[in-house]
Amino acid sequence: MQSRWASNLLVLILAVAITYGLMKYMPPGGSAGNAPAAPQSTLDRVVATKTLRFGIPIGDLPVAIRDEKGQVVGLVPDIAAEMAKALKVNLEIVETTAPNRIPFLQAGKIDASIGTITLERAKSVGFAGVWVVDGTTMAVLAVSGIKDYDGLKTKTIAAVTGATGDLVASKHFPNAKILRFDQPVTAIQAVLQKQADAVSDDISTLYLAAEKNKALKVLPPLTREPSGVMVPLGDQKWINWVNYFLDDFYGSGVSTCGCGKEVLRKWLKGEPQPLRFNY
Amino acid sequence: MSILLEYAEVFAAGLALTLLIAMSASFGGALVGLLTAIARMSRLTPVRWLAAGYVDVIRNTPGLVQLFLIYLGLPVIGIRFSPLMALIVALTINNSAYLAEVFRAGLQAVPKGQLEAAASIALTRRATFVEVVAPHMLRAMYPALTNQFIQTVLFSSIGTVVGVEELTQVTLILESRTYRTVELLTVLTALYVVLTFALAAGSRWLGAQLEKGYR
Repeated sequence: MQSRWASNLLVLILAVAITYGLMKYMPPGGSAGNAPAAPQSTLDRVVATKTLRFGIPIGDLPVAIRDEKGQVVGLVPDIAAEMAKALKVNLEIVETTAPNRIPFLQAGKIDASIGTITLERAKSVGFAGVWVVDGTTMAVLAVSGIKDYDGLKTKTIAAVTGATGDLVASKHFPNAKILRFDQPVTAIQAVLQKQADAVSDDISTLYLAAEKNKALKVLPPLTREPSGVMVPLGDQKWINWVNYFLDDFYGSGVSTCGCGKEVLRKWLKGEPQPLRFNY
Repeated sequence: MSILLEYAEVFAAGLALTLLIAMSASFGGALVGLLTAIARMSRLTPVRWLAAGYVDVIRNTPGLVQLFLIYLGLPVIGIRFSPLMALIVALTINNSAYLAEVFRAGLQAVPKGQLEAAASIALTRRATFVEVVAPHMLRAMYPALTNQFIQTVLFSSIGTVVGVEELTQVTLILESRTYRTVELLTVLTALYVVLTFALAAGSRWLGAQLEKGYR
């Protein structure tokens, strides 16, 4: 018994020491916010490997869902396909969730993803431009009789961990109970099954969900949020290229179809908000 | 590792909830499991089949699916659990199916001679169970029981899909606020390792105590 104890303790100490050493001396994966250790830009890697790996949270329209044939369809797959076409490479859609987009990007598993531009996130990832202006709002059950946000101050709000719905709800409703799920569809189900009083998520997602589920009622928008194309931090070459792509896709149409606005209209089922803020 | 000290209360709260969940689910699971094991050996055929069917279905479906059904499916028939209760109920049911098999093996491991000896000195059925059957059972079962407890501690991390703020979920929430992914996941893994080492050591101590009566 004595020798087993000692050897187990030794293994434990070794494991902790090795992990600590690795953490201290490995290049930081965004944890210290330094510039990436790899000198090669993502743009060069994408062109060389002939593959654009785009990380998409596949859960709800308008962002992306799987149709009956199992194909990924939605607003972001369309934009990603256009980007791959402009680069003359193959598109590989990597399924991510809202919480693991940024770690995937930091680890180099994907070349780009999408997400609301927040200054906190901008310390860990780069943003290459705005592709849609969405916002956060909340949806409740129509039968609950809740008409405005005052009624939600102390209720239960469902949100997706780490998404802006979660951040906004946590900030504006500190006295409410926030349930954090990893998929928007679970959060919406929670409200439909009366496990939560409201769900806090993107305006476009909740409008479309309310169209499918007449039991839901969407409240007025809480915030207006520009969503950007997320790329690895500090990769200026890639940031520039994606920025020019977005200008071309939504505006000039010189090197792409220039059909950005039509794509937005198709999936948002309405007139998209302007991509530039007017002050 | 400084992140461990920075957010010590957060990790401590998550760890405490994980242990609470695991202990509740293990005790509840043991109770239901024992009843199921006894039902498995009943003389009434429908009771036997019901118990066997229950064990088979629970063991052959993913715990995650069971959790979703309990949290989002039961409300359809009016039964509503909070995320924490849903997790504990799901883990209890899951545990009970596995523990039913452990208890069945334990019950069958009691040597027939012991029962005959107990009868020959006219012990009551209750006294027979408490003084004769239970010690034999415990000695045969404790490795499987403690292993199942450790598995429950690790399996409680499925609580993240229904928003229970156990250890894994609080770490993921921290990660979504600070983006210090590598540090946080390393700390999380280390905490689970330390926890299971401690539980395994406790299990070995328990085993030594149980063996004492047999030297």
